[in-house]
Amino acid sequence: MNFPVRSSIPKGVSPPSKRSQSPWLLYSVLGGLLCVAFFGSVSVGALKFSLFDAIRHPSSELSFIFWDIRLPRAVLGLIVGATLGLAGAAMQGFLRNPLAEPGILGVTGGAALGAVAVFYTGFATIFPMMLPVGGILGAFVSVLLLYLFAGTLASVQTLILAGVAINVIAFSGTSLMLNLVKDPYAVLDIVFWQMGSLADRSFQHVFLILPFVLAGWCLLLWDGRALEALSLGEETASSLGISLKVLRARIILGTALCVGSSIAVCGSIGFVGLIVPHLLRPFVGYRPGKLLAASALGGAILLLASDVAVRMIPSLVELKLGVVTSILGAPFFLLLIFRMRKKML
Amino acid sequence: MNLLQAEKLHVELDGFTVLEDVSFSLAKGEIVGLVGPNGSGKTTLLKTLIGALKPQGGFVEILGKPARDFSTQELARQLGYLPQEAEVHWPLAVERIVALGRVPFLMPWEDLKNSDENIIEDAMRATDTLHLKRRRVDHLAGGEKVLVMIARLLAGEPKILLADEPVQGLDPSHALQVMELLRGVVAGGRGVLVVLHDLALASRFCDRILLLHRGKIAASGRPEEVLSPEHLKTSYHIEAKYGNGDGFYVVPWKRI
Repeated sequence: MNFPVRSSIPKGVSPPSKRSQSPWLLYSVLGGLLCVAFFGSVSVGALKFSLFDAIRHPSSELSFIFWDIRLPRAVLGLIVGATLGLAGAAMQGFLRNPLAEPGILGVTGGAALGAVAVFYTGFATIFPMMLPVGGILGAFVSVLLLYLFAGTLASVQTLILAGVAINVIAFSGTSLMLNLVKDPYAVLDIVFWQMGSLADRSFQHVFLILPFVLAGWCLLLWDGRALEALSLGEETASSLGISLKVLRARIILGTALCVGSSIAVCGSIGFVGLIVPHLLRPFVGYRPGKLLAASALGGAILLLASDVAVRMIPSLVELKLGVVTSILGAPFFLLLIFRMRKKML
Repeated sequence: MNLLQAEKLHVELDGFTVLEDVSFSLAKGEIVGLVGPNGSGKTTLLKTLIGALKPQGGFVEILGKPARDFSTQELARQLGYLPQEAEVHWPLAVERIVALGRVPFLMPWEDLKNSDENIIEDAMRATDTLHLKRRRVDHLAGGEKVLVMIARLLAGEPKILLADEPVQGLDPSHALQVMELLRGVVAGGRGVLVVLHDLALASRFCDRILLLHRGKIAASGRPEEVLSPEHLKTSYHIEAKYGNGDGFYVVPWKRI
């Protein structure tokens, strides 16, 4: 290029190094932590035994506990955690708002309503595939409503209000169905399911949602560069060759696919998508694109660790995972709002 | 061949005519200044040229080819756009922002190549922002931020640069620096269309000027022809002082 050279760096002083900050160190640290969390998840439970024994004796009871109870629980934790972290980062990047999160904005609520509807009508017992489909449809409608209510670049207040509205709609729909169910045990089932849990899930659940989740992940991870360009505003992004219509469609569809199907088998698990991107953002230099993969890893770590905590906290009944993430996330959410309010003053 | 050619552009927004019968061209090596009172349609014209607004009539040609035949990405490689408000939604490092200029040349999965890194560094050197490369953009002063945004624009190596009020809110030294920078850019065979409110800068630095008034081109040509007392009187309702010591210049003097 033939630009006139006008540098303010005096001669003899070397300019800052050309190497760009690589996120690989962060990815390896997160990968290491994820291995630890995964190992923790398959090791911790009511029965203490050596994993080595369980694998060495394939027909033993221990082996059954490992392969059919612990392992699917850990794999599902990894998948759902990664989904929630990734979807949180993608929504925050797209809406350019650090408070965007599937739970707060009603996507989780919508997915739960969709899944409960499938439970309630009995479709889930006839066609198991209908469960994730119900969740995905619920999530899809919620994201669409959110976009219609608030649009992109809405103020924090508009966005949160739109989320409140969608959550209220989803909650009333779910309540209506609970109200209409005749069998009290079914009511209890649905209520417990709504609290969110990874317990008593099998590899059947994993395989049921895997294709949807993977499709959703691909759609969201594809958008890294577009989200980076979007940090300069919509006009600049489109002048850089980003088609906003296509980006919007991918984000809405990707979020609905992975969040909807995950929530459909695990129940409502909130705040993971809020906490994780917020904690990791400084480590990727605030880049919305690089944050996607980092948040997926971070989300998986947080959910697996919380699921280990659920099993280690002494209580009469096992705590529900969604309850634990909410206990962690709610104060965090309040702290974020408090800090943003201070900035606005 | 002209870099950019607009023919009889007609743009309506919410049923109101904002641009009417606007025709002009931009050739290699020239800075064309777009001036006119507030609300005369300057920003609308730029948005129409980048394809963000669809004209109801007329057409735009880029490098001799109709603009609508370009894909979004192809257009982005030829045409760089600097919007009026420099929005940055996350506290990114300066070098990351400049690197976004390379977006039109990269596939979604591709990382910056060495050649890209060199272009990015050249753009920062040209805009005197290399020493800021690791700084967060929200910690920069207004002038520095504009220079960073221009570096982002240059990193895309566009043949045509459209800048909407790049000197808005800058002190005289930074404003002159930006205009000198644009002069250096067109020396390399590019073309710049720049919206300016500062008539003194427009008269000093532009090769040609387009004066927009109520959505129509009221005058176009060399600065001394366009910024004449009659044109300034009808479009801006002002009088100006003129100088011709070291080249032509205009200083707005009083309202009529």
